[in-house]
Amino acid sequence: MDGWYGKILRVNLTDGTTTVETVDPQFAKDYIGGRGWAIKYLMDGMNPKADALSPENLLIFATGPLTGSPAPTGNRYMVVTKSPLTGVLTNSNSGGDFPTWMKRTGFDMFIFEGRAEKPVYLWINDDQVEIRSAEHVWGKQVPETTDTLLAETDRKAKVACIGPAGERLVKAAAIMNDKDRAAARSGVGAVMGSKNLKAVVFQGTHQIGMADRPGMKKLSMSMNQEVGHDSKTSVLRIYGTPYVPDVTNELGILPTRNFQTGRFEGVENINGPALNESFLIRPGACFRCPIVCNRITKVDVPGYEGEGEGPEYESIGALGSACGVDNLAAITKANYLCNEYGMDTITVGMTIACAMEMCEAGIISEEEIGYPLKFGDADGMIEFVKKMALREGFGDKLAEGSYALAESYGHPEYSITAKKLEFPGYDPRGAKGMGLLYATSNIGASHMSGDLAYAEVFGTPEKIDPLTIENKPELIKRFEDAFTLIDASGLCVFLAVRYVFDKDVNLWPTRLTELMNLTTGADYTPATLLQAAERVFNLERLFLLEAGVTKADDTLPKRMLEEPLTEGPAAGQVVELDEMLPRFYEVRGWDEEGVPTPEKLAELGLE
Amino acid sequence: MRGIICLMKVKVKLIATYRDLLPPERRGKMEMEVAEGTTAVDLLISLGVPIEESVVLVDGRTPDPNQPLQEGDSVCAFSATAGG
Repeated sequence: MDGWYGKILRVNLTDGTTTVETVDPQFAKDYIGGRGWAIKYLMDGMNPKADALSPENLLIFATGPLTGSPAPTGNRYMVVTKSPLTGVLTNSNSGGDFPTWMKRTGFDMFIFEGRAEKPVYLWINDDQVEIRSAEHVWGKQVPETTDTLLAETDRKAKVACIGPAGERLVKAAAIMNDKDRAAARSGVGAVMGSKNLKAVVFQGTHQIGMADRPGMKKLSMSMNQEVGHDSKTSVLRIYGTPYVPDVTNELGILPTRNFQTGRFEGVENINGPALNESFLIRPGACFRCPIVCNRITKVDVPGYEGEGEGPEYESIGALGSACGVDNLAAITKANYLCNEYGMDTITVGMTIACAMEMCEAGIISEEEIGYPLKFGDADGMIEFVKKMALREGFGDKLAEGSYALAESYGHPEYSITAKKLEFPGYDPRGAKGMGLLYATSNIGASHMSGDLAYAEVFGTPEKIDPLTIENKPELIKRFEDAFTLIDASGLCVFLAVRYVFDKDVNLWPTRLTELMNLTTGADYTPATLLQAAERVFNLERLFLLEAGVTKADDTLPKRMLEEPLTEGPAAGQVVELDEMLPRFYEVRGWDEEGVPTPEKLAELGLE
Repeated sequence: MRGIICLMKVKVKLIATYRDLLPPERRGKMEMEVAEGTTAVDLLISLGVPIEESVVLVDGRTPDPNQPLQEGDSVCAFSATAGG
């Protein structure tokens, strides 16, 4: 096969064996790769009702056909598993260098099953596969773990690992690669920790077959030049995603004090220009990426010293404005700590924000947690990041995520989550399509599952009204399918939304089809690719339904449905989810309970 | 016969790369006087904003392109690009 090796490595951690499995070419095409292949193996290989932290859960690392290809940003991988934070599916995406090195091992996908008796790591050097003891790095933070394992394997290899948070089954735990990149969301690091799998280290020289290598190189080179000369994309090189707080604040949707409002008085202290003036050393890039959006930073403010990557917009929103914190040194320090302990900045920041509001409301007492936690307390925020990572004191409750925290006090309404996953940095009361997305994404409130903020907020590929609900069900379906396609192919959304779809809001994948066909020779059309993405999305939905999800779970917190924003352009707005959801089900070919109809399943070959 | 030109005060906010279109000490924000009948697009073009590539907001909403600005309006622009 071109585009895929057609090989999966199955690693049984319980008995320490590995098995190479081959993949049927028709399956490879029908499920594309990445997130698509992974859900099929997850669905067939485990009971969706199983405890996410039990040996029965499968942890899958998957690349797509464009991972490691010459396509710009073709350097993403996905972690797919059942989430211990949400109790439903998750698929968490990361870049860096690691995904390309993963592809060079000669495998498209890795399935980890069972549980090792003692901590181990997987070392792959081309065709040599070894499961080694990781007892000497257990307890170590991400940077030290990475350096130690590279020193004892190959300095040119790449590492993905968990930190102390993943070992302690913290439900915000991430899987970190290349030290500072994260497959962050939904507690995937806790699943890895539950399997006693500390790390994977990859090195290899395999090269994927390509249907038309000269054609692929030519198209990729022309796309690289297009991106390099695009003044719009240069915003991401100059400011990175931290340019965004100014935008969302203007629209009144910057998460502020646990989403109590969408405008933050301290925004100018936490925006892109502030980061550039204070802490930016240089922009950085994932492997061979022409966008260069990473922030390589260093803080030398006393008490907050450190260096590394970040913060990105989402980290600024969660650890900053959502906690009422406008101290950028503290936000950046908290981001470094999340990277070092191995945690998702969004769930960490939003959970602390939830705790701050509950403390201010008198539901959580100072006596109980031994600290007067309140909004705006930068040092308190940092302190509880550490406690959360190590499950110390009140940190043990924070480590369960905001929903479990708020529910344990009888007040789940303080948790701003959908399917128990913390909201990202767009208040959906001022971006209605995002509200429908959070409610219907297969992993909970993730912007990466179909980020209509591109159109509602950023005007890409075209600006649409964020405050109307008209046509949003249709657009969310298309965006969810298009983002599934991006995740399955191995590209990064930053490139994909602007350069591989036609330039209107319907995201027709003309150029993505060209890239996929040059790579795989699979004769996709834009329509068959979108249908494959829809197949994947629906199979994910079936996993959720079997795990026990019902229509009642396709919802949002009371604050979003009943408490209008009070300032900014979205003042007076709530999310009219009841008006959008029935139409969304209809557009999806699902019945009134949100279950795919037999006709839809037959159409997608899922009967 | 000479007409009277009414001037109105409006606020301008230019985000990210567009900050450079205003003097550095303004840090992307400026209060300006514009003649009655001026639209947000007129004003932004006069500052050098490439309108076709931009998101334009008045008080946080996408304006009708022909709608004249009102006293006290807040005009904002940024490059239409990827999100966060």
